[in-house]
Amino acid sequence: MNARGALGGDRRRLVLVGAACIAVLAYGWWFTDLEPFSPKAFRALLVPVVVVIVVASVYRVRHKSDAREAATRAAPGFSVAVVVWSVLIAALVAWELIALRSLPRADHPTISSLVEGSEHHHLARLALYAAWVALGWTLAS
Amino acid sequence: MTFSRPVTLAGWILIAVAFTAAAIVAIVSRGRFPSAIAVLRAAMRNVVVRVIALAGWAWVGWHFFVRTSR
Repeated sequence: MNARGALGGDRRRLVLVGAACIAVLAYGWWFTDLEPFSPKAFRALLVPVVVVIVVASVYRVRHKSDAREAATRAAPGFSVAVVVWSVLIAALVAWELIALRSLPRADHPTISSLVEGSEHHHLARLALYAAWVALGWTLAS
Repeated sequence: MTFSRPVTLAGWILIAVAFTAAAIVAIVSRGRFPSAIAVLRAAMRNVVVRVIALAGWAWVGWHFFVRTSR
């Protein structure tokens, strides 16, 4: 491919990514304003879940490369990282369960109650939603 | 097992500091110490791990955007 073709491809990719980001944020603005506990909110959640998993899986198949995962496994600190992250996640889960069993919630906050505090603001919910979609894309792609 | 309020809060702060420190080490090490996401992605070559991770991700979305009152 010549330089002009590569540049056109990059520009097209940039436009595609930009359009996808706008679509995700526009949908998120509507979705994060829905009434919690409602069937509509549940159905609306299924849309990003299905879209992210399907689109990311297609992307994963089309751009199949184990180079990044191979580099991770070959990293000098891979074994240490597995132990460190496992211990940290185990500590997080254990502390969450201990807090969950303790009351009152104001004195023993859980992750949910800490996040709930910021969820009163629509923009904060939108930011949380964008981070959640980005995480899903990272995991699934 | 229950703790007093200061102990609960100190525990959360300690965990947050530990996560932040590990994340900073992962960034600064330039790949020598993989991030949590990189480790998880490497583990997700296994289909079972992949399904569990994506189900967990979907559950987080349900928990924070459908189930949580505001």
